[in-house]
Amino acid sequence: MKTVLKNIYNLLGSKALTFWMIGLFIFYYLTVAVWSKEAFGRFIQYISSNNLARALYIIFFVNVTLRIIKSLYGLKNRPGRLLLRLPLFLGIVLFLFSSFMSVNTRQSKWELLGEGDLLVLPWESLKFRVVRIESALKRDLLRMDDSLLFDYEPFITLIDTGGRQYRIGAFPPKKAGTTYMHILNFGLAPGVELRRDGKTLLKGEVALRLVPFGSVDSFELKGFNYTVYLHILPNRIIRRGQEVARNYDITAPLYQVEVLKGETTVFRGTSKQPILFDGYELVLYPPTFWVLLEVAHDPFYMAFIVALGLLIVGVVPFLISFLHKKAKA
Amino acid sequence: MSVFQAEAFVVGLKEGTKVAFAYLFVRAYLDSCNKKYLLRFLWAAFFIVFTVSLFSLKFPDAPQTKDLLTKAVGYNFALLYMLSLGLLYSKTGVDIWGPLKALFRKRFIEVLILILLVTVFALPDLSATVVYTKSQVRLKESILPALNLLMALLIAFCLFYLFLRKKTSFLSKMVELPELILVLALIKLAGGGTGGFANLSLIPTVQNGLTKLIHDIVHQTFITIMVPDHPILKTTTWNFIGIFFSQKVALWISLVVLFLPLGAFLISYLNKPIEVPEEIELPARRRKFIRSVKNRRLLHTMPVVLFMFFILSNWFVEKGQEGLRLYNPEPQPLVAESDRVIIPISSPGTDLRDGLVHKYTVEIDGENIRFLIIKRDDGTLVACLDACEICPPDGYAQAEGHMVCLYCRTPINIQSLGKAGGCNPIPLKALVTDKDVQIKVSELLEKWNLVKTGKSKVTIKR
Repeated sequence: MKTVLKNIYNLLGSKALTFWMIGLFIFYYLTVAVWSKEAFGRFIQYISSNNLARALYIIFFVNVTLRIIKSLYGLKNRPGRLLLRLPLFLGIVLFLFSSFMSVNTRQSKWELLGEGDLLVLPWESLKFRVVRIESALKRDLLRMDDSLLFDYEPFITLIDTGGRQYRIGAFPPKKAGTTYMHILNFGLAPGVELRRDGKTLLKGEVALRLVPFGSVDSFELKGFNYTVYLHILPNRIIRRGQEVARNYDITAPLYQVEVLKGETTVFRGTSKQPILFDGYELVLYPPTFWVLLEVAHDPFYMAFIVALGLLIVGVVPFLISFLHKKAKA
Repeated sequence: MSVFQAEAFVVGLKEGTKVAFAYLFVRAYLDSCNKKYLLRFLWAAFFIVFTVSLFSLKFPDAPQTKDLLTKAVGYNFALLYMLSLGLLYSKTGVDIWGPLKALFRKRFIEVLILILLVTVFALPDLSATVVYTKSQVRLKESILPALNLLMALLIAFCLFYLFLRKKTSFLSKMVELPELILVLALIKLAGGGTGGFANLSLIPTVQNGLTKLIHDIVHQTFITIMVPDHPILKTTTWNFIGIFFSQKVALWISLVVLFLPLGAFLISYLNKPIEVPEEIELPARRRKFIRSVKNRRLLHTMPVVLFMFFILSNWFVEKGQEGLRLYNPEPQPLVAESDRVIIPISSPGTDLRDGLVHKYTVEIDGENIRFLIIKRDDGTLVACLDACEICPPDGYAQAEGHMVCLYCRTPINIQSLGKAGGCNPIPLKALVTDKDVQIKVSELLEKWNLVKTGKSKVTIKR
């Protein structure tokens, strides 16, 4: 029994096993990448859902860990070299561990939010309300052909049920309660009202992809068989020689509007004129903002970041120790 | 001699040289390990593989066939390269085979491995050459390209064989099994291209595969640490992130990935302790023995160094340019005729086969639909919308050797155009005839709707 255990231990800590495991991964990657596609994406999917893939990953992890422990143990009389190699070795072990755990335990969602919306997450005891969205665009902006897409990084301010406020940007993610959050996208949500004979039939804000300006997006008037296509036009065009600048006022944008009933266009024009069709009137109000927030519950997020840091920081001292050893030899 | 015939001649020379080199190295190896009896099996295996490859004459002369064969050649190069790495690793003193080692010494297994190696090495290349010849014959409507190719193949083989056969004793000092496999991989890398003049070596294929791997790993890391993958960030942050996605960084990392195991082998093999047999007692003889082992090791590292040198000298030739100049032509307006738009392949001032991107716009039901046509590396024309499913439809421009999404600056391999997904332009089903490219209006409308109505879009209801 003891011999069997020793053999298993020796096998798990062997270079040959590392070789075969890496070889197996490369063979898998190569085959899937060439004959199918998205080999890496599938690999991540497998280690988060397939028990065989998980078992193989764990064997590899144990193998690497044992070899690193053996290697560090062998350096017990050489504290200098041990110290130089420790960050990289720790980084490798932590990276393998945290990425596996992160893939297997992470719960995440994308939430489209406007001001005043409530954010309720299944894993979070706290609830959050959107207090404010800070625009990524200037109020009154001038666009050249080579202008940046956004002028600022957008921010969203949330308040939780305990009254704590969180101001969240695009990167790095901020922790609110037990959840990591960051903004993935930002856009405009024009106010829309559908009227008939002075009576409001529908009213609300619609999140659309209208940025960069000129992008066409559409929405349906729920319950009515109409589709509205919108894009933003410049409020003013300024030409100086070859240069063309477009002025947009996002507090009062000018829209190109097209309303379709089935496949028939019932209105086409700009929002300067009243949008009238089939006895209905569509009124567009100044837009509010929306953000696409990525929220994730991942207990191993920080460990992964630390692992990345150790890997990056650990390479140089490892190389120094390696080259020093070779020079001595 | 026309360009077609010259191209066929060059392809023939290339294939002949490949076969001659491979044969010489295999023979040198068999000489060195006293396994000459395997030579007849080598010829038999080659004859079988050659015969089997002739069946590819039955394959349709279509881009899909060429794509499949290119993949097979690249895949088999990678298999040979990986196998050589494994064998080199075992040469450093690590027992990777365990009990399998005894099995490999059996004659039957040796013959089986030899046949397998010949198949892996030669079958896809020969099949690709057969299909290439078939397409040249069809295009030229003459048997001359095939004759040229055959003649060049024989000339190359005979010349190289006659010239180098005396050198096998030197070669046999240089190669053991790991080096032999690495040399076979190198021969494939240098001459494994399947697209005539446009694609003689496998370097671009290997680069594309490796840069995709690097891109995937970087992307997965960014997803895990929650970095937005579109330019919502401050410009400086986005530019910093862009470094990791840039083609140049990916090329450098790919080079490191290729070199790291070989470099590790060189360090480890050359520094492996030399055990002097106890029966050699005289210090002078011991020193002589050590020197001879070191010399032998140096000779064995030659193929590895050669492999590294070849890669290094070719790696940045095609893709290492500094500045990215973008070619973004103005879309030419088209009018739909009945149910389709028709774009002539050749018209005054325009030729779709010139390797440049050609953009068009067509108004259908009040929609201005933009699309592009470009010749891929394999010579086929591909039509795509000038937009993808992820980004706003800013379109694409052409850079050196690849397309670039104007919105998120993602580089797109031209050979991958026509495949859906990610930041690739949305592919269009098109009928490519001898004279024109035809795209159905319904196809344009259907695909353009993917651009207009973002799938992830949700409306906020109050």
